[in-house]
Amino acid sequence: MAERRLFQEYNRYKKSPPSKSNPQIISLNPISEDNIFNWQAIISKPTKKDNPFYYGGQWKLSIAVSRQYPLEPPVIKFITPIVHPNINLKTGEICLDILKKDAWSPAWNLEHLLVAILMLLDSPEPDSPLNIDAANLYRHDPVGFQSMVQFNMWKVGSFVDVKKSTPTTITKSNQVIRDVSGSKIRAIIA
Amino acid sequence: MSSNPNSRQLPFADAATIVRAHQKDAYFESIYRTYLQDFFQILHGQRFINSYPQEITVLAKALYLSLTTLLGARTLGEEYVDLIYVNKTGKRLPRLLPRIGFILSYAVLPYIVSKIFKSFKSSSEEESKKDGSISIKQWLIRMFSNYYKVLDVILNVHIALFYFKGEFYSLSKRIFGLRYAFGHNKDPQKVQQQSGNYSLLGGIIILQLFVKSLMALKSYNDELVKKGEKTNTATQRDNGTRIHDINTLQTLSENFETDHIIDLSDESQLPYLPENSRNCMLCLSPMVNPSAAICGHIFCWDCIVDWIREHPECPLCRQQCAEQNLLPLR
Repeated sequence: MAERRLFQEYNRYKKSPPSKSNPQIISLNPISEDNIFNWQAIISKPTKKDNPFYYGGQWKLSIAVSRQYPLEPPVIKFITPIVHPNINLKTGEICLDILKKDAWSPAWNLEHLLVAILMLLDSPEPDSPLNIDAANLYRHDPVGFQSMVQFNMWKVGSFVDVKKSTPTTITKSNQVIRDVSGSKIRAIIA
Repeated sequence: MSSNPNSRQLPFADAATIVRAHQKDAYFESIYRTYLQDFFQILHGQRFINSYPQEITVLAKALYLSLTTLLGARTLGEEYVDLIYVNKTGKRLPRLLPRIGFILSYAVLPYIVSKIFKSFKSSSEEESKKDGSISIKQWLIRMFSNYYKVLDVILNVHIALFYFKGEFYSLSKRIFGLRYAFGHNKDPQKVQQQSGNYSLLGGIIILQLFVKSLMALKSYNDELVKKGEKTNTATQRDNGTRIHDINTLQTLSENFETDHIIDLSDESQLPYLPENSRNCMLCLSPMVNPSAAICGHIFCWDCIVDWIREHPECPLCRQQCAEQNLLPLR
C-alpha cells in the first residue's frame, strides 16, 4: 500500500509540481527512483514578505517514509542547519504535532507536510521548544532573533540561489553575504 | 392392551402422564447438574466445568437415576404423577438387572458411543490422509458418519410409536422392558380417551419423516442425474442460478469476493458518485469497495479499516468512528 501510494504521489508531483502552486517549495522528489521511500525536498523563503526572519533562505529536508505510510507519518528532518525554536539545530529534528503519530492523518501527503513546515517557519512556537536558546531569543528579542537567523544562514550558506534550484553549498565563488535587511552587500570573489 | 377393569392389575400409564413425569425428571436432573457444577467448581475450579460440561451432565443423569430407579424407589417425576415401573406384562415389578441395564444404556451409553465415534473418526481421518486408497476402515467411517442420521430416524419413529401407543418413552426402556403403570386404579377407558390427542403429534412426526425421506430421495436422484450429465457432456457447464447441492454453494461462496468487488475505476459502478470524488484520499487511487465513515467521508474499505483499527476517527474530519460504524456502499 505504501509503495503504491507513494508512486501515486510522485506521479501527481510530476504532473503538477508543488513549486507551481507554492513557490516556496522548490523541489520535492525521491532521492532516486529505485527507492521510493527516501525523499528529499527543498523549501525556501525568498523575500522578506514571505517571512520576516528567514527571508532569503532555503533549506534541504530529508523525508524518510515508512512502509506503514500513510498510516504512519514520514520522518522529516532539516539537513540544512536552521535556527528555529522548534527545530533541533544539530539533528534537524522538527517538533510539529502533525509529524507525530497522534496528530497525523493519512489524508495528508508530503506536500501538505512541507506546507506545514513552511508555516512553522512563519510562526514559531517558543512554548514547546527544541532549541531553547532560539526560543528565548525569539520571545524576548525578535530583532536579535532575526539577526541570529540571518547570521546562521550566512554561516551555513543557505541562501536562495536564484540561478540554481539546488541548495547552495558553500563554495567561495558563489558565497553571497547580505546584511540583515536582505540586500546584497558584496560577493566574495576568490 | 389393558385388561378388563375388574382385574387387580394396575392400568398402564398413558402417553400424557409419562411425558409429564419425564419433564419433571428433566427439571430435577438439571437441578442436580447445577449442584454438581457447584461442587466441582469448589473442587477443581471453573475451568474444569468449562472443559467437561458433557461429562457433568451424564454424571448428573446417572446419579439421579441410580439414586431412584436403581434403588427401587420412584423418581420425583414419577412420584409427581404417581407412576411405577412394571415389566412388559405388567404383572410384576422389573428386576434389578433390567434396571441397571436401563440406566447404563439411557444415561451413559450415548455418551460413550459418541466419544468412541469421535476418537475413531479423528484417528481414521489422519490415516486416510496418509494413504488415499479406499479401505474397509473408510467404509466403516462412512457407515459411522451416517450413524447419527440413522439413530435420529430410529428415535423419531420410536417417539411417534410412543405417541400412538403410549408404551415406552425411550428406546432403552423398550429394550429392557420397563413400562409405566399408574400407582392407583384408573378407569382405562378414560385413559384411552386422553391418550388420543397425542396420536396427532405422532402423525406429524411420521409426516415429517416421510417428507424428509422424499427430499433425500430427490437429492439422491438429482445427484445421479447430474453424474450422468457430467459423463455425457463433460464440457458443458451448469450455468443455472439454482443451488443444487452443497458443492455449488461452496463454489459460489468462494467466488463471492471477486464477484462483488466494486472498483470505481470502472465508471459504470456507482455512477452517482461524481468523478472528482471517486478517488480514495488514502491510497490516491480509484476506490475499491468504497465505504463511508459516520461523517460521510468515503474511502476504500481496506484503506479505512487499516487506519480506523489504530485510530478510531475519520482521517479527513477526525470525527470519532469505530470500525463497526463503517458502511460499505453498494
